[in-house]
Amino acid sequence: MGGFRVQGYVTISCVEKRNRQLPLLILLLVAFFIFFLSQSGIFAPIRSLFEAMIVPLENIYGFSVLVRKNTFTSRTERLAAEIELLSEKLVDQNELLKENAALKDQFQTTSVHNPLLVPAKVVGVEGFLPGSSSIESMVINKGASEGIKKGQAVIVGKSVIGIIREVSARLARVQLVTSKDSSIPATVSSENQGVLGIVRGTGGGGMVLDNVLLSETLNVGDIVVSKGDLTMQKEGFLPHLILGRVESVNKQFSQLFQTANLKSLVDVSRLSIVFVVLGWE
Amino acid sequence: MAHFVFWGILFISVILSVFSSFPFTLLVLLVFFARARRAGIGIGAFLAGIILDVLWINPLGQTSMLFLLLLLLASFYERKFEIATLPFVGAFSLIGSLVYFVAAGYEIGLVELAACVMFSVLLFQIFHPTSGAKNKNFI
Repeated sequence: MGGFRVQGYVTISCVEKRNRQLPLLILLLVAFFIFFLSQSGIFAPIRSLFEAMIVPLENIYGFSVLVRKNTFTSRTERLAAEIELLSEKLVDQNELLKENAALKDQFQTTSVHNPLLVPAKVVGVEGFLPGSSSIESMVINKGASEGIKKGQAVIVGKSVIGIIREVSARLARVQLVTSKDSSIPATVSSENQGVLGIVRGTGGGGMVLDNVLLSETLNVGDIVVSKGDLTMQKEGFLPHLILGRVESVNKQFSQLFQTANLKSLVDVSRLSIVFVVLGWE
Repeated sequence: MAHFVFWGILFISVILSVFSSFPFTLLVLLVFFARARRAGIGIGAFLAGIILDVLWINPLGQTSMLFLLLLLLASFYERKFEIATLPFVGAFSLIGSLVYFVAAGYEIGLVELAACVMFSVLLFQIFHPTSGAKNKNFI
């Protein structure tokens, strides 16, 4: 009744087709309802429970622990397993050395404002295909339970990496300064003190220093730093954090402002540890 | 058996989606929706979306809505035309991937889109029906 043949294999009734839409519509409504409720943070405890299970797994390289064999029949296999285990330990040790070096560097950096920092591991980079696309945001393994809040700055050394945009109990998403939606009040750290502008991310790993008056002098090689836009809620950037170096200057006298292309001093794709600024002393 | 194949592939695709920006889950859902004749895929789309939202720290339900909306669009198209065809799978996976990349805020590259279409076409061919009896009870 009301059916037809498809490629000689299947008979589908029109009623069956309509019946496929109803469950989809119901599920869509349920998803919308959940989405609506999740905006109020009602699912935070459930989410926290999931994350408690998942975050440790995300720190394991490639889930290798899940597929590792427990029993071996031959000596060769046993030796191969030992080599694998030792290699993993070597990787872990190298990671620890890198982590130690990063922590040592970070906490030896002195500043007029001593920031209260929380080290965090990068557990995910979104939209990143090496050689094809650049990183726009990253996920770190620290969240609200460690005092991380929206709007806090993320740094490495004295360089700005980004700003916290989303937080859950144990994870947080960092929007990089190079992403399209990023804009930070900035100044130039050179003899041209007082040059003010706004550093905007252009996507694709680039930044532009915009809104600089034509009367100001910008030079290739100038270091651009944050102007400082801290709020009483301890959100925003401390002053004098490095944003990037001027690579080229675009000055057209028909325009109201001049712009400059910036290059970050940090290769974000190689970062494994970053530091969240919780506040300052 | 067919149920296990679908849920198994869906599970693997969710794991792969967590570690890459390639829309494995979306494409698996689209192909199986075009290929199979049951609405159970909607439940898969819903659950996969929730799991991905937890892992990506997105608001819960966001990815499920995207998956279900695309499946719903496909089902509307199905009312007039046949969807278990290569041109549909190719075209819809292209549109779906585009929407996915835009919604996730990823950069859209021709290579990635071409890879998406090739992946879904390949998957569709692998799970192409070989006999009426098998197909009828699929999913």
